Amino acid sequence: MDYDARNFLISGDFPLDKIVYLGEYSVTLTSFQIDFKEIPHNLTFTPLMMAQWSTFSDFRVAYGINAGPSVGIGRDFDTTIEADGTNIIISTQNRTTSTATVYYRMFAFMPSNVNEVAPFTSVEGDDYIINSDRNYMKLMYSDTATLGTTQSIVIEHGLGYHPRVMVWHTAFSGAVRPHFVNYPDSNIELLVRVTTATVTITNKNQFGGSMDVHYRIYADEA
Amino acid sequence: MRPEQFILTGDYATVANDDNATFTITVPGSVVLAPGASMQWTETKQVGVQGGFDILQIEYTGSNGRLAGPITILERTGTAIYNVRFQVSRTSPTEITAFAEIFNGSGSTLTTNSSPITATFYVSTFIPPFS
Repeated sequence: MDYDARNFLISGDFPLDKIVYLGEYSVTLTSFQIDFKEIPHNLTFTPLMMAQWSTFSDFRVAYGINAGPSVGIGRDFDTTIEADGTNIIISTQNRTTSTATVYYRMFAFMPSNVNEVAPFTSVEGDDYIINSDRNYMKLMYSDTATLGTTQSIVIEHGLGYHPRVMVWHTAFSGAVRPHFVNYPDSNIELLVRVTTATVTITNKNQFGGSMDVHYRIYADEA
Repeated sequence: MRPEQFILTGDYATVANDDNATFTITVPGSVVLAPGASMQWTETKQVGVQGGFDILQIEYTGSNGRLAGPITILERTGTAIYNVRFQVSRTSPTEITAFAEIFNGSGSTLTTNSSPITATFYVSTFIPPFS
């Protein structure tokens, strides 16, 4: 790369993120009630989901999946999202003592190892306006890998700064979910480490076997 | 043809990065917690817009680079083994708060490790593709 892509809002050398699925969901749960919802995504592939949740319909306060207000070692709400070839699967538990409504907003990308027709998600002509006040994610690398137990993949980006990274992985169920937690001191889940030269993704799931991972590395600085 | 074979297209929604912020929290050493008690350390800044998404990288004392993902949980040993949990949340339409939290899940008083931990949170926020 002969120029610094960070200095440009968009770049002709890198594609922009294209969202292939947009959706919303809400559920009202009594205290300690659990909801397990399958929503058909109507795509011909397993999408890479991103989502956030809130107890406000306007998302004035909002959390990432599996994050949220804590109650000791647990959380007020347990939230997970994943997808398989047919459905988006959302599970929610209200761990508070009150009835609450949990709202989800979700979107998805197409995996890099898929080459399918995807429905358009920009339904109005003015949905996609390049605004010079904003930066648009410049996708530099996207790929998939299968990692055996404790195995790593090292991607040498050579940017000299910490790029933004998104990672998804197969869960125990076989569905694909966004990476949401790093346990650097334990053999649990996945670890995603970013330096100014490399991105290292490690399957730390000591007893869980191999794991498929999908990653997206951007020319934008985190 | 897959959407990302196009550099730019008006047929697909996208996410636009509207703001970035860095937070720093130091978790002190030798914190004493009664059984079942928790303690939080926070920093709040104005960043992004209502309903915006965020992605996070965290660098902490001894992390050897940054960890990418919404939550990072460290395991430390004081008078018992305990976890230090880092995450961020949108806590108001205009603000994001970075959190560090320790919870004493043991049945006896916990005194944490004497070494403090300084964590830096790198947050990028995005305009949501929702009206």
